[in-house]
Amino acid sequence: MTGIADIVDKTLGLLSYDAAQPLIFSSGLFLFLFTGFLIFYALLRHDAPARIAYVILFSLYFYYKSSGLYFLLLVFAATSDYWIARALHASRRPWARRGWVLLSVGVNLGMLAYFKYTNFLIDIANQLFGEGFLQFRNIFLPVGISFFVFQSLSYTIDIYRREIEPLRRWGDYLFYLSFFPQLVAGPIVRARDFLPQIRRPLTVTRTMFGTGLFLILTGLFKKAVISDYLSLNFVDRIFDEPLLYSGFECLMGIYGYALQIYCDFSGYSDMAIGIALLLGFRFPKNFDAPYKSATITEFWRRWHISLSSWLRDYLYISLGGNRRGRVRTYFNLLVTMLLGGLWHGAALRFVLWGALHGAALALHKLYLAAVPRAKATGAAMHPLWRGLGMVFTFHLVCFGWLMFRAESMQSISLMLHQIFHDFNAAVAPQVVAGYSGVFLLMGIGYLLHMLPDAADRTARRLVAGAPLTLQVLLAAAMIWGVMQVKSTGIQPFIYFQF
Amino acid sequence: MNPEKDYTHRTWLAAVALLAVLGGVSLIPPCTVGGVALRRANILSDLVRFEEAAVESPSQVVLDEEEFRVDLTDIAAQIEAADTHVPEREVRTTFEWRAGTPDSSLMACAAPVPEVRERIEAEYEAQSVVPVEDFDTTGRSPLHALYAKLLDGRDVRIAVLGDSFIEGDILTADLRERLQEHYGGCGAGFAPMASPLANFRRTVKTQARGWTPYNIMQYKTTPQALRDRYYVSGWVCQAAPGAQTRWECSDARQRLDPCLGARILFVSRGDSRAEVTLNDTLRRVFDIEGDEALRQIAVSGIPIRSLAFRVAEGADGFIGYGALLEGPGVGVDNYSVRSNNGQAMFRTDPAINAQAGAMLGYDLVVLQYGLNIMQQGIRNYDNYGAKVCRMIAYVRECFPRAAVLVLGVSDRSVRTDAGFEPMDALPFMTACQRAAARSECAAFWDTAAAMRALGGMERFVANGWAGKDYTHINYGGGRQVARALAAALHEGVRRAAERREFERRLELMRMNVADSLGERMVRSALFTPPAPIE
Repeated sequence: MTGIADIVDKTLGLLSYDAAQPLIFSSGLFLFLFTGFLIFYALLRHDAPARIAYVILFSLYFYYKSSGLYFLLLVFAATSDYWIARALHASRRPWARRGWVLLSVGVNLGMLAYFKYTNFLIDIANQLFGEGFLQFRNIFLPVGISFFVFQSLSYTIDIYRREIEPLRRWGDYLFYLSFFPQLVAGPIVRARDFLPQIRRPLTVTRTMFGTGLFLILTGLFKKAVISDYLSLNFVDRIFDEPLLYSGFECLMGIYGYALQIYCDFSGYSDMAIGIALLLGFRFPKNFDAPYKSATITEFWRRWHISLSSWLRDYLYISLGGNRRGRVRTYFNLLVTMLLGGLWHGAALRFVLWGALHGAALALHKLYLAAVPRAKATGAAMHPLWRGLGMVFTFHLVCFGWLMFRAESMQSISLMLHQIFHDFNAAVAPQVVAGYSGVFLLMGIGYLLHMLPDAADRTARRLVAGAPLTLQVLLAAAMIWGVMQVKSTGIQPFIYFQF
Repeated sequence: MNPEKDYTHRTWLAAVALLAVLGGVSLIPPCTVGGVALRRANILSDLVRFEEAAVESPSQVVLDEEEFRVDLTDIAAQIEAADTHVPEREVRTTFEWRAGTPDSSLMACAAPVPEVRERIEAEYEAQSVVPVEDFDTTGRSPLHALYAKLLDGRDVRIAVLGDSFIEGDILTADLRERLQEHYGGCGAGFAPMASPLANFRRTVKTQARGWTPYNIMQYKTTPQALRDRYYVSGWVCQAAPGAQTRWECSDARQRLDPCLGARILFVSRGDSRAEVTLNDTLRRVFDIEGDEALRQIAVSGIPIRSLAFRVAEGADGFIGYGALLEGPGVGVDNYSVRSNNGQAMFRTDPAINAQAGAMLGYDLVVLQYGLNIMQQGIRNYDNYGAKVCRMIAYVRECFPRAAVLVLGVSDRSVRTDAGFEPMDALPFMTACQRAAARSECAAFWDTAAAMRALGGMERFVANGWAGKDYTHINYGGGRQVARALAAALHEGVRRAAERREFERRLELMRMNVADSLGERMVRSALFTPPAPIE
């Protein structure tokens, strides 16, 4: 056992900023901090100003733990858009209003461009004008900047569109932007959905509590068991050295990654939504079994819904949407998805991933226009067509994931080379036997994903309706299981830096 | 139950109760339930560690004895029988093709560059070296002979036998580059005739057609006619009519492109005709009389950028092994077989190995095995150590001139409740390998110690030098380990140089003393007055 002084030292170390150990929901430290936080949160439930101040402080600490002093950037973003929004609302002249909203867009996208895309742009310049034309900069990427910048933009743009009124208190806006459940990895909660909940009397109903717990536990299972296990034990090694593996393994690696990225991202989103529910806040659904999609259009209605709807409402519609003719519609779709791809990461492969989805969405729109009987989503299709559509869409999405995950264009071509020229199906039984844990988890993951919605609702109702003791034991069993499967060293969350 | 009632307090109550339950669970020690080993689930693992009692585990690592079975007396007999076999007709085993006349400008390609050599030596000076431990105390250690050859700039050939850790020329690519830059040499060494992993290897590009490759790990499913013809490369390739392979030098490392010589190794049981093409321009046909012996076509005389080989006639009974791309100086051959713990060498044909050894003249055989044998919780590897002794003896039977260097297992981490930690079995496996090398008077190099000097497996993974299985290094990690090994070999060369200098001075002193003694004797003879005659 360890001495008291040692424990105190370690505790102080754990509570300090460490870029290598961000505070994430699936860590033991978060469980302890959150428990302490909840006690005072409940005590302050009738005192809204104190509760808001308390949550802001905890949220800023949460951000400090991952990004150090860059929590001040968050404060700056909140202050800037709070005052811009007030000035915007006070302006009567259209040009002045446009000027204010452009200032907000400029400040937010300027921050994003500087922190996320400077080295990407330098790299492009060096490729165009020769190595050494510009020197790379050592720039820290504050965690979750892409998320809170988009959230803040939704606020000023909605005020510009006169869809919401500006807040009267700076603290409320900082509360919205820094609210820790969705701070580092979404979902991107719109101002219009969140702001009305801030000063509403705090109520956590039994259903909210039960649903929150259910989402946290399923999210934990998806993130800490399926995603981390697949990543560490199968997917990473295949993408690192595709030529060491047969085409079958490479294909399984891509299927594994499709499940890994879904479980990682949706698992974390589920936990965020669940934690928010325990605090009395309702967030919209962010994932809706995306691999059940029968078309690419349906996929984007089920995958990262908060991002796709943000891109639709604030980028696609701002570009003119489908109001300026068919060709312009396809162009707008392509541009929206290209930028959506770039949002995910500063690299050419993300742009290509966005381009693939943009082109696929445009082609599907063209197909829907050309074939009147064609349906946009699987629910309206004949089961056979729906099944075929699901298989086709899943593989199209997997092709996109290949671009998304591969480190380089060469890596993409090597994976495809192995799949199409060295498939070696004969090794399949050995691979499945050798990676039995991986394939078992992949099977469970995809099976749970494909279960009908009714099964999810039933499970949710059962957990929500269970007595508190059973709920606690269920949570303890899940955490125990997670600890058995994985170590305490948590793998960094995939979408952290997006 | 009121659905609209506020349950905010329930949240923290549930969280506190959850922590209490998890705190209690932390006290449950590791145990096994229904054959499944359960770890301690310590929610406070970041702060508090429990001293775990040693988990009950098998006293020794479990080995498939049948896989490791070898009769060394029989091996010696097989080699001797092949040596003393008198064929009915004289068999030509080496087909030489001098495609040009080597001149000094050509040889300069393989010579070390003084500036590069100085830079490498400066790097060695700056790093801490994990030395090679030579347990041969007879004074005639073949490792000393290797050091002397490196010191004199003579040709040196090294074979590295290993598992997936060095697959695709990982580690050996950089060991070769380092040694060739330092002591001279060129060429990527051995490349199989055909292999499913050929594309992975960056140091030579291989395009093969018409061959059926068999891997020694699938020994039991290899056709009977080929099963006993494996070479230490671990691959035999059966030719179909027109089977061909083209090897192209790569620029993935220094001194690979061009190389100055090449050999193609094969067995042609029946009469055959083979066609060799150099640099896609020069072509020559070789008529080969059938025999069971290992043959080589040795090409030299011009810079070689590509080499193509085609079995034009007589594919039946034609077994291809591969090509060696080489030059004067140091050559390093990678013989890796995935999942091999060393046992596969016992299934190779000792006669073929010995014939290859005679053709290629190996000075050093490195054995890199054991990573797959090591298991968390198992601390006794004596039975594996006994197999390592047999591997050393087997190698000596096949390559009698070569020094044998056992590489200790590399650093490897496993997950525990406190994150990644070095596998607890590692020091025990290392000790077992060191003991085996000592008992056989071979040499040993502690790979794990060298990796730990570079930060250990966790740093390798963090730097992108190793895979996230915390076991296998990649090319980046291979470069680090190779440079440490090259530094260790150079340390041996440096000491050999010091020893030689000491011996030279000693000899000089002896001669001076002898000269002075001789002079005194002459003086005394000349100037000593003769004894009176009585």
